[in-house]
Amino acid sequence: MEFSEDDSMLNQSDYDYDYDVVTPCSYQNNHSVALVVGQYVHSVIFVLGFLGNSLVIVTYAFYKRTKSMTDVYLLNVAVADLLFVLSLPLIVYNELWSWPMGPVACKLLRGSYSVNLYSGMLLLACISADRYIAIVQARRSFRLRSLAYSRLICALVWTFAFLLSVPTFYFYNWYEPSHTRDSFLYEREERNRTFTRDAFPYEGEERNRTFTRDAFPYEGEERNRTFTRDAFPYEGQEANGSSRSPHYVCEFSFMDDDAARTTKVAVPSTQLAVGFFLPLLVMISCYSAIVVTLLRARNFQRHRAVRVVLAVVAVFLVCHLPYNVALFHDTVSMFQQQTCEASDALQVAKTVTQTVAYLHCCLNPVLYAFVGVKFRNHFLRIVQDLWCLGKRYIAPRRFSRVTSEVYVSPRRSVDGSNDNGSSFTM
Amino acid sequence: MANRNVCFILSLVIFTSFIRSTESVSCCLRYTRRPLSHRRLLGYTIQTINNSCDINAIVFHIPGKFVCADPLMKWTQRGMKYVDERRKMAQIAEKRIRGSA
Repeated sequence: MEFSEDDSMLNQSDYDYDYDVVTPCSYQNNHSVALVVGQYVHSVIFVLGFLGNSLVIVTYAFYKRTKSMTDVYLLNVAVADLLFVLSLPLIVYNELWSWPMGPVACKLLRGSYSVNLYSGMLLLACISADRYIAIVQARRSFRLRSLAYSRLICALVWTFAFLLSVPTFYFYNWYEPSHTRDSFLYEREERNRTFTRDAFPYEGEERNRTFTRDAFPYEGEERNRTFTRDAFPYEGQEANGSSRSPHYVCEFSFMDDDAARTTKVAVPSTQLAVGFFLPLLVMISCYSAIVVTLLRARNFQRHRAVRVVLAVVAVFLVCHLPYNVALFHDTVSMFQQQTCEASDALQVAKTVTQTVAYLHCCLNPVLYAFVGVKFRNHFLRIVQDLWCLGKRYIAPRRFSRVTSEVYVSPRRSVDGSNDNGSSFTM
Repeated sequence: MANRNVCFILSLVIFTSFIRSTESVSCCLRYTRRPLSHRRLLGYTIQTINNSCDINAIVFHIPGKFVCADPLMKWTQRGMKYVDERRKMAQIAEKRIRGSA
């Protein structure tokens, strides 16, 4: 408004006001950080997470049939984490190569990322509730901790996680950023449709229509090239235009302003609430009750159990708190004007803390499964069997027997759920 | 078998790092306060919150630069109108040339 009477400015020298001109922010720092983190750190996370979680699944599949409620949860956490780390290299690959895998992969990868994030976090909350019932409410434990219950709860968790991810599935789209379609005054190509029809694209209904069609976030390589080119960024663009490979992104895109405003806040808010605060709250209340009970008990292994509890909560906090703080900050300041430096710094923080959060799925197998004595014993048997397998080049009898037993009689596993609190390994 | 797959995917991921740098979204995050002179305007693009950027903006193209402008400011709207009119005239001129040829 302060420049509404600006005609006097129009004849000024071109160089008078270039010093305070604001240009689009290209997030240079985040770019370089994402480049290193996205490839090297994520590769390490992928390998560790893949090995750890598939070992858990293999152990359950062949040796330790899911006998108790805890087993069912641990198996489900391992499955969620495994799916998550499997999608990680695909996401990295696609982001580096401008999404060559297309629109279906875009929706599936972004969606499965979200489903696995929610299910993983909610299952950790379920595990803490399960341990609470086993240790603090030991009397009711026999009734409440049945296999059928736990399977039902897992099914509910996955359904819930899926429902929470529907907006992600729906609004993430694979598209070519429209800077290739944008309008340059001296271009010879016919583009009159945009600017003859929408002479005033900023008013009312007309605006929505225009904005939907011509949203140009200036993404990618093309943008860099154009921006750095000297005087006439549009000249020769056509010549390049026909030869350059199409560049795609997989990002949020909306039909109108309202949907954009709502979803852009709702998705990270849900992630903060259900993907972090809810499980954190459940874990802290359950585990603090457990610690109190354990400290009163006379079990000689109680100190070990308390240490395990503390480790579980501490790792959860260390992994997820930084990212969620960054996410919160980002969400709160979303539609406000910002400086490029501040926004870039925030994006760097998000990239780095997100990687720390990813580390959690490599640590879960250690924190939850391998910390258990029984589980470790089963696992050691696998190692032995594999060793023998490698030595003899033939399947040892025991291996095949156990395998067939699993397939023949899955029902027998419904028996004992009374190894209470075994998940801590006491 | 599993190990071989791991190695394959790992090498794939690492391999990509040598080929190409990443892309990132570029957005206007705030607006230029001072109006631009009309004769410097070469064109404009519209940035909306409907995609990955979080504020609406008009991006004016001036020689060597892209400049973020507030779509609600009068000078921005006048600048856009100016660009549109010049563009229309250029098209009419072009049609005439084509018609005579």
